[in-house]
Amino acid sequence: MISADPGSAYRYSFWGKAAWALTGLMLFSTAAAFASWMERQADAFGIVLRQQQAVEIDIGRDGDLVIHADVYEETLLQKEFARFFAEQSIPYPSAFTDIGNIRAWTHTPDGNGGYRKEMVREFRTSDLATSGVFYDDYRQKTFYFPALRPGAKTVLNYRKTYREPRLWGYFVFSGALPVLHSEFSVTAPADVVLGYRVFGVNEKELAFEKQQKGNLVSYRWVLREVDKVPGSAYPGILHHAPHLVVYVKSYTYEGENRPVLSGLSDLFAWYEQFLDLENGTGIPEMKQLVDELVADRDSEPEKVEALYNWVRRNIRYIAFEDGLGGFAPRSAGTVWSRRYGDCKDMANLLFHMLEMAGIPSHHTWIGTRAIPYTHREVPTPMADNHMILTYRHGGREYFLDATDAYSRFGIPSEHIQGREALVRLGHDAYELVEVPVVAAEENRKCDTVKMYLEQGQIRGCGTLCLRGYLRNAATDVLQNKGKEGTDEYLSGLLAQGNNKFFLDSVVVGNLSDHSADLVFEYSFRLLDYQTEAGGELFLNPHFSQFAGDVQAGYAENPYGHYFPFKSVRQRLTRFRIPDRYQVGHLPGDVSWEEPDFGFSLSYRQEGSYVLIAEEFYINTLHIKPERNSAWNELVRRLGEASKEMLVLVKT
Amino acid sequence: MILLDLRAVEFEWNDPESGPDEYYTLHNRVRVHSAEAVEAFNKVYIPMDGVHEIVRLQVRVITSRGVRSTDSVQLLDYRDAGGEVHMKYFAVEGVEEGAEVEYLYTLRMDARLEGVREVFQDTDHRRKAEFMLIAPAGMTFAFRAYNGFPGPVADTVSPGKICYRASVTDLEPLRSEQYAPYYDHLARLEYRLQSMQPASGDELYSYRHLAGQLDAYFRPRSDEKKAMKKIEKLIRHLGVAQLEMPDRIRTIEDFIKERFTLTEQSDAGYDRLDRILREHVASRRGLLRLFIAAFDQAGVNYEYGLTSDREGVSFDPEFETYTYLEHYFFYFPATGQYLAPSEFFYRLGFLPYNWTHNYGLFIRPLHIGAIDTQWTEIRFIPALPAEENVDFLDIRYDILGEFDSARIRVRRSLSGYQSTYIQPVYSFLPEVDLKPLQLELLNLQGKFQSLRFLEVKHGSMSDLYQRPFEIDGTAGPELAFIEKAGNRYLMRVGELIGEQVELYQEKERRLPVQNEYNRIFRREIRVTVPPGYEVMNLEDLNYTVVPENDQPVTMAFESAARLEGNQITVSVNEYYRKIDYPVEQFGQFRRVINAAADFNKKVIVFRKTGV
Repeated sequence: MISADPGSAYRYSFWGKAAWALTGLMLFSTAAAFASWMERQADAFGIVLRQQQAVEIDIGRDGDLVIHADVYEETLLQKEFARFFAEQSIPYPSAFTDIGNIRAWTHTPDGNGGYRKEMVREFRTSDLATSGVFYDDYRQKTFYFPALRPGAKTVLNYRKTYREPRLWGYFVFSGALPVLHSEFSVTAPADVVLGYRVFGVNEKELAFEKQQKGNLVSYRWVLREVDKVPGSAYPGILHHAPHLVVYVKSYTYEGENRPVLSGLSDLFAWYEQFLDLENGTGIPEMKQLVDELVADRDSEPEKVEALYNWVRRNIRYIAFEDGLGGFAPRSAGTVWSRRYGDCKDMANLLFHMLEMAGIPSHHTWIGTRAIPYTHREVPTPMADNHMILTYRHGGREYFLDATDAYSRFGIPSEHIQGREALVRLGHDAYELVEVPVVAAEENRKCDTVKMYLEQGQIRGCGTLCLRGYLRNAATDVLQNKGKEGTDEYLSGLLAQGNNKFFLDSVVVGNLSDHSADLVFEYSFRLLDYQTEAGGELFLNPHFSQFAGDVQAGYAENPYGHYFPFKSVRQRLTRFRIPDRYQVGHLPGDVSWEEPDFGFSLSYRQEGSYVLIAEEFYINTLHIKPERNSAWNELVRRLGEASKEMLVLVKT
Repeated sequence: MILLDLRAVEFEWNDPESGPDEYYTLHNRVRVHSAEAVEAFNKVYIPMDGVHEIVRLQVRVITSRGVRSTDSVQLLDYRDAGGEVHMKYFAVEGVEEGAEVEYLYTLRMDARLEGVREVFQDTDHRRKAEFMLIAPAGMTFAFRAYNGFPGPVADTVSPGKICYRASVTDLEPLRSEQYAPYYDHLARLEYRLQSMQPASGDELYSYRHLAGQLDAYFRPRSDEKKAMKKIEKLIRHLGVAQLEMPDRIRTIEDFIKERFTLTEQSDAGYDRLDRILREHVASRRGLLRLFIAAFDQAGVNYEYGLTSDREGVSFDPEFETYTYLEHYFFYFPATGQYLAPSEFFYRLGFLPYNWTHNYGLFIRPLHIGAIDTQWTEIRFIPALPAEENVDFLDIRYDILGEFDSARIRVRRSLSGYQSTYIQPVYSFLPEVDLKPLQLELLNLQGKFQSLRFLEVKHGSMSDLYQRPFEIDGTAGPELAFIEKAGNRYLMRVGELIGEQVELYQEKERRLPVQNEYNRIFRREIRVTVPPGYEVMNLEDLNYTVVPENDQPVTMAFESAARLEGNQITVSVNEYYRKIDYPVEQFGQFRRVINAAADFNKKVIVFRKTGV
């Protein structure tokens, strides 16, 4: 399912003559502040001097909205390297938008202090392959900026036309390059009512004005000296990029009020018309399968689970997102016979199969964690990019995401945790329901390992249990990859100590029982791990690698740290003290425990064994930037503690 | 499991005015056993380059639910921006685990006569792989089969037609291995048209034939006189006439590579000199034309040529086919050096390593009076010696106080291919990416957040392959690489050289060894022992692996440690001076590679003297 038009986020705009005049009056921050901003951008390949999008909304003769955006972008190239970016493209979803009137040129230094203008002569249209999508209607206009060199300026100018007003309205104030002047404006007849909301921008820095001249109202947002947006940071660029969401709430045509996205009910009504609730009921083979699957299940949830499992295991994910096909689920009959589909196709098939079994369920639109807003904040298609099915029983919701092949029944898929679901209750009836965040304890990794020394090698056997989201990746590999891929994966999963680790045997338990912990009983050899010197044996007892795992998050991160899920990781190591040795030194216990994250390490001797207990937990999906210092302290302490060795000495 | 993989080619020549038509048929039958196999075979991609129409397309899926046949699918279309890739594709309906998927398509396309490669082996088992070529009897084809695929045999099926056939049953899967020429070892067939009746005696699509066409194409055209004047002026402006030989070439190369950009849009007039000079954008062949024009003006004597990427399929000197002609290069007889005209991160003397240690077609255009002719030869492009590609690490680690703090200084110098991924881009990287890269280059990532001092030398494009990239950094006071064990301290000396590649896991080796390039690693580590402490196990750092039976010695790992006063010095040398080893020598190669990874695990223990 496609969201509005993220492609436009990185494309830029034009306001028109009036705007040029206005800009001169706009806040020029003090010269010193400006100089310091320019200085900070000195190592950027280039600076976008001006990025503008001037939108005009008209009501056409037939009463439909006509939306055009004039895009203008002027970029100063600073580095020699910039010429490697001569190739540029303008991506757009061709079913809903057109790109026209493209003009582009380079002002290239002529060597005499002036500029020479080199026009781009050729624009090509080609397909744009989107990762993970089998087919969509994204196209791109591609061209080469000529004669690039430091000091050259490129100018790009085009008109974008929106055929579906609900999929218009999105502007990112900067992109891969810093932007000196970023501007978005809309001019519309006075009775076109707009809704808008700004994200990731300090409101004080954003200049906004609304003016009315005659029957035309213009809105203008200007942000200056905008730093570039870092690449694709988890969970999604919209969490970090300064951007504006704008949409048409309603307009008047011949005295009649026409709602577009005046509230959530409009969005819902638009979504609902795409549903095909009839088709799919008349397939005897499907009915037969449904009957077989639910035959010996007693309770209703068990029946739901059986049908849900069948769909997610037997329908392959292949996404077609062409035009409204990005919003309309294909009929259950089609998906049944093809054996493939995308999220909404699978949800719809499951809906019909449940219906055959006499069980009601609910089509549900939702935005994954990549999207930072709720339906209440943004009642437009920008809030959603996914469809699931909701089943209610015993006072609780089951969020059935058929694209999630492995999560335990009753557990939502990882990427919708904490998100707000738009649940269809019936015609014209919906409800917003928050998807729960799965508790850390439900995503547990627990490794219990016994080790001993034999002929200079460490030998051992262990039991590793993986629960919840932590087991999904393993389940996928073990069920689908061949022997080669599985062996390689297991060597990585069970590795400990160093890379001279040899897995000798492994038995996997509960692979097909997705509701239980995935269990690995394994034995191994570990070479060159311990150090022997002067009759003493030195061994780092921290096999869990927690310290290494969190190092990556050590550096300052302006957005804090995001995690895909809450989790707990535990490890208990029982190391047998070799004959004729005794413990010479045991590290002291250490712990650092906060509500959101923490660890504990403890060591003790028990008979002829040294017991090492390690635990690490993340109890939040996001550590906010103001908690960075606490997180860094955890990383530091864990790092320090992980350098404490166990010493065994000859008796 | 692939039950059948048939590729059939038929040439038809109905209109003597035009060339022959090619009908290419692919027929696959696959049994899908796993979800992974379903994912792999429920989508079919049809390459459309040169294709006029899909004459026939049939799909059949057999499952427990029955047989589902169709000759109409929802065909989707994809064209990339460069205009190079065009394909049609579709999803196969009804595929589930245990199904048999069968599809067949026939394409009518531009006849491919100059050289075609059909690869029949990959990671799937093929029960039967078959090739068939049918042509009018007057057309004679040359074939060469590799790695277990049989050479096609001709028989006459019908009057006036000749049919070549080859088939093999139970073609085992082959998986890639580290340090191995994987694609070069897959079962495959190469073929091209050799002669056509009635025709002249000259072999069609021979390299000689091509050399003439290329020469005519590359030479300045009659409508490019103005552009040639500009180039003449440019060469004068660069003053290369006064320069001696390698410098003359280098100046021209730097000028072009620092100002022009490559486009993959090959058919858009970006090969015309006037357009290139105006827009500073050129296609691959356009760049070659620009270089040729400049070299001709500057009086540089050159040969140009074509070779393959040996990490794909290496150039077979004994079989002429255009499929090997992937990459253009220049060769300068005066200096014996090579140049890659469209590779912006390479400079004179350095072709991409995967083009070297490979044969190539060399062409020298000869313009004698009014006669244009070309001399061609197939020669070996040798790999550069190990001395050209040196990674040198100089590490000094001072432990301060009684293990209170530490100061580490690391200097690293990278020459030749060892700096390919760093030197050309270093000066262009933004600050935010530079910091982690610097730490990584000094093997200090994860140990320190920042450096206290840093100096980088020869980190720009103009130093490329001329001077080694040098980085010198100091960090502290963290006691990195040191662990505490009661009243002992352990130092992970082995980690100072950075994580090394390992080949620990023992698997049956099927492919021979192929190195990327010859190379040397030299490391000098000095550690000061704090007063009042001694090292308990210095001898652990003496570690040498030199394979026996490798004479002269072509690969080795040698580490030796000594103590002088309070300073430990560890010298660690490692080198690889040969590209290829037969599979029988894999064990030896593995030992040397693993020796470096073993060194990573070396730890020394400090204790108080007299305790």
